[in-house]
Amino acid sequence: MKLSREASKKVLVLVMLLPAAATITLFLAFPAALTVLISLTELDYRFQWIWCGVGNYAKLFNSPVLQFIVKATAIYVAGTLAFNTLMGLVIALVSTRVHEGLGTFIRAIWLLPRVLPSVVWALLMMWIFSPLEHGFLNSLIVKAGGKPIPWTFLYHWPFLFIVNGFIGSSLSGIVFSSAIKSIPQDYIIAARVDGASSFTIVRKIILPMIKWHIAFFVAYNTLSLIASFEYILLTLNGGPGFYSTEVMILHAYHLAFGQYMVAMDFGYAATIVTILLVIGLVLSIAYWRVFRLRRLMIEPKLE
Amino acid sequence: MRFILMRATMRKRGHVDKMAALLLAALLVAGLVAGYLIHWATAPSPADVVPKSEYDKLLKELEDLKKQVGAGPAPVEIVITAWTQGPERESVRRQTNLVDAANRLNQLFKVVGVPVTVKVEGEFSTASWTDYRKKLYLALEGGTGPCIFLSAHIDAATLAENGWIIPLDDYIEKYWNWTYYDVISGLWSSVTYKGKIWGIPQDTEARPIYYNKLLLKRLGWTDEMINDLPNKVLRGEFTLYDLLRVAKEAVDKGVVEPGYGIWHRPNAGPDWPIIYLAFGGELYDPATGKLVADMKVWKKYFDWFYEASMARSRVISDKLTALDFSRDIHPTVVAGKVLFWMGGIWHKGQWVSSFGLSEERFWEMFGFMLYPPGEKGGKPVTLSQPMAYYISKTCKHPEIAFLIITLATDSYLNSLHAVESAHLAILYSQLSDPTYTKDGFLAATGYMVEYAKYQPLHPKWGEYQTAIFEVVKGIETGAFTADKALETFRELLRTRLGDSVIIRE
Amino acid sequence: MRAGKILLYAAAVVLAALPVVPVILLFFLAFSEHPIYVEGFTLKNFEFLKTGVLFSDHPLYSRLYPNVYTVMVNTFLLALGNMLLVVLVSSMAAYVISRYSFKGRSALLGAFLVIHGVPASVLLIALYYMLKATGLLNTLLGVVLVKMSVDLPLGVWVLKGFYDGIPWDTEIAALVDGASRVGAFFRIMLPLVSPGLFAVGLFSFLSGWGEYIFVYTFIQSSTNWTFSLLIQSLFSEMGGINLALVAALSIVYLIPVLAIFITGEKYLLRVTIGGVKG
Repeated sequence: MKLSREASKKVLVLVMLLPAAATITLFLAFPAALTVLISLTELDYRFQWIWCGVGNYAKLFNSPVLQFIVKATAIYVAGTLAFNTLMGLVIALVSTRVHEGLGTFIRAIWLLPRVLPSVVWALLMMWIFSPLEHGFLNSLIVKAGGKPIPWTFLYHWPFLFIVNGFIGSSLSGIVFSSAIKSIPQDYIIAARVDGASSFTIVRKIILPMIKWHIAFFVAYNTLSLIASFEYILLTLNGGPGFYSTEVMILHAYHLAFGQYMVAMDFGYAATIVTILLVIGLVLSIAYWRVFRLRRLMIEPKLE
Repeated sequence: MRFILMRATMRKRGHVDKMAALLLAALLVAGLVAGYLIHWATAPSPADVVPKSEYDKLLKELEDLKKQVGAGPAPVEIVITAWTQGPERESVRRQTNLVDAANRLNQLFKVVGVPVTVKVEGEFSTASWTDYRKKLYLALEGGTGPCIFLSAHIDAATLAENGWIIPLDDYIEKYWNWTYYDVISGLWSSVTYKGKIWGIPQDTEARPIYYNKLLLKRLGWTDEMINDLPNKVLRGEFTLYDLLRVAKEAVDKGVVEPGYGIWHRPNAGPDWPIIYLAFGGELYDPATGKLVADMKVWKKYFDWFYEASMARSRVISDKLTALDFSRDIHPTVVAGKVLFWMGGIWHKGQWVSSFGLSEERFWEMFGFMLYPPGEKGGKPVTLSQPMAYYISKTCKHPEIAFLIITLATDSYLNSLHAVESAHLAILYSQLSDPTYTKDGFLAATGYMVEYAKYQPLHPKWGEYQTAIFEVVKGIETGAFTADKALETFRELLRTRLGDSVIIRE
Repeated sequence: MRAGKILLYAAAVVLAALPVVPVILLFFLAFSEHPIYVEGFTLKNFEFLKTGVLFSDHPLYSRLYPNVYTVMVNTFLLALGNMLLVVLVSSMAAYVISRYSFKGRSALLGAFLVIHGVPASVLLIALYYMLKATGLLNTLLGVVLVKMSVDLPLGVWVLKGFYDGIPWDTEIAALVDGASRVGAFFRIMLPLVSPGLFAVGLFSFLSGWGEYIFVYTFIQSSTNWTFSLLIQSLFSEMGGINLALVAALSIVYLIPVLAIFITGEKYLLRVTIGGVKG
């Protein structure tokens, strides 16, 4: 018996889509919902579901560290974003104006930190910027007769911006470069004929024409930075000092997995994650509207 | 190396003919049963020293066990899993002593006719305590935990509350004359929670303040003054503020760099309450079973740290808590750049074994003393955190596991561990065991145990202790004044510990 | 103008050098005679490669760390498992999404987009609970499954782009020749998107190879360690004592990464762009 066209299409779609849909539901959607549920319990290392309503949220809002982790998150996101965007612009502007081979090479080489295992990148950065004498930079300074500089201590935020920024700038660099390359050359040539300086061309022509790309990158990057902590965990781990670089998601991680006597405070940690999930969801919806992402989802015309 | 050889010879013995094996095994039994009469490890004694009565007693003690394992004449192999933890590599004997004890137990079984061979499997971990505990608790909770495991004595509270371990009182009583009469009596209280004994002490330690003699000399101190410092502390003539004054002087005179006067661990850990104890604070209320925070004493505590910080005396570096123990701190202390190091006695073991400090250089460079009292005439203190072996509830052969621990709780084996890792003895007989006594450092720090206090056994203690550390970090990096620190500390205790803590104003 | 040009090229050279310098320093350190400083040249830091045993000259310490080759196999299994699963699942899903219109299509695509935007590490707590409940905690399989689902959305988006780029005519021609839709998928479409499969494959291999946070959180036994755990643990233990050894291990860890980066950089670029533009 032959299946009808419609039915066979359904079977095909189902079979080919099922693994992906199941994976997404099981490992991403379900855990997201589970996180919200956990945040309403006192779940800890004993793994017992003790419901406590919004008790954990009350505890969080009364916590003396809340102001610190919110502040750290804001600085971290804003600073890394600024670094990524500016560095991306520099990469894009330089690489599109030099010889094409060199330009491609620059963009390619910036992918390197991105593909390096995070552990190796973090240990490299920690070694280079170590606050003690045996750190690489300090060993150069000492050899030259200077005094070692406690890099990661004095400049912990710039340090983190660099550590994360070398990862993020590859993305912005590539996005901005392709945007610049799509600007018709006539505009720039015409401006140059009119005697505009390079700086003016960048400011008056290039930047306005790629502003949507910049906005998109900023939006996209905010979403991913707000809940990222791997490189902080691997380098400064919330220090130096009292919660100085402990961003919200890192605090949640510490509460859940990093306590000295392993309290594994899952319920309390999940409240922070839930808040971040809600922020992420709201931002996503906003971006959806602003950037008209629906365009990306145009239905296929034929079948 | 020595231990490998020892094992090799033991293995070889197994192949010699039966009579000789029996004789040798009997010899071992002699050592084990009558160990307190004769030091078998140093002076092997003829087998006939064991009185018949002792042998019969042993048979009787193991009669139950024979019934338990029940099996027929074919020997059964029982695998006992064991996890132990450093994190310092020098403490690897916490694991290998169990393996050696199992070998001894096999010899013993052979002689007495218990048809069982025992094998210890598992691993020694050098991960951080957080990671080790995480792995351990998870396995225990899921019922897949090891039979024997090592953890700090303070974990007894959490482990017992969750029903993950078994109380050991009955076994200890049954096998009392094997080795337990010999355990230094004060140690039992460290593993007693709610009236029961939950663990067998494996080692103990003291946390002294090391002082750099060379730097004190450059400060104009005579040898006599330097060597008398520990005694001055004992007499209560040298206080925490004197410590601060000397460190400040060293900084002011350029003997050490600013911030290198006094160093302490860079992370949460058992050391944090010591200065609170030195100011006379209490951490636990036995009547209610709750933790205690005496805010008047905590005020003194934070005042002291604030006075030491870079904002005031420039004695404790604001960068300290941003550093890594092995990566940054030990190398700096060993390089002689720090005047006072609030460490642990096992650090000496680490320095000599892993950080390139020679034994002679250590004695030339470092002295060590108790934590001075907070006020003149007070008592000096230190803190001990004994390690203990526990037996999990899911262990199928708890008695065999217990016997392995019992045989590992042996003067010779434990002395090897103590000397190599610079930990203190747990048995009275160790104090006269030549393996132990030849180590000058352990002999010189042994007295500290008398002044040692323990951390409270309470499931929430970890969070209490972390809060102390976090607030001190805040003071040192300039985020808090002493008053602000006290306020934050109170809030942290309230939100994190709730009614588990009594806050005394 | 000339001065401007020189300045521009000088900036370009600096820019090109910045990301490479740290990696070059790592090489120097790995071959250094001094355990902490870059000094001289020696191969002694790579001695562990002979037997895979670290600190083989020390009878006790040599038993503390898993064999390097075991670690290598674990890392490889994670990377390979992640690669195969991501390529398999996303190639099918992306095809359907690219070619068919069905209920829930845009919801699914939207979900892929949002999920890709938010780092999956926010789900660690819930995932930990789930893996524990299913007995997958402390197993490589558990990590592979989590890792694969995290990398999947990107794979789907990138491959959808590749499928979209194949003209309908090609597929219709095959159908006219009598092939079924499934036949056309395997014989015509898959070969045509092979650069895409290759790109996604390389990307997910690297992503699994370098993974740290999931392994660190979900794996407890050192027999299941991957390179990232071994190196991180040695770095915090030995950083001030024998940094050169850690660097040497890192170099071994980096070999496949650098090989893939140099040969497959073009493909990786496609994935990076695809990740943003959909």
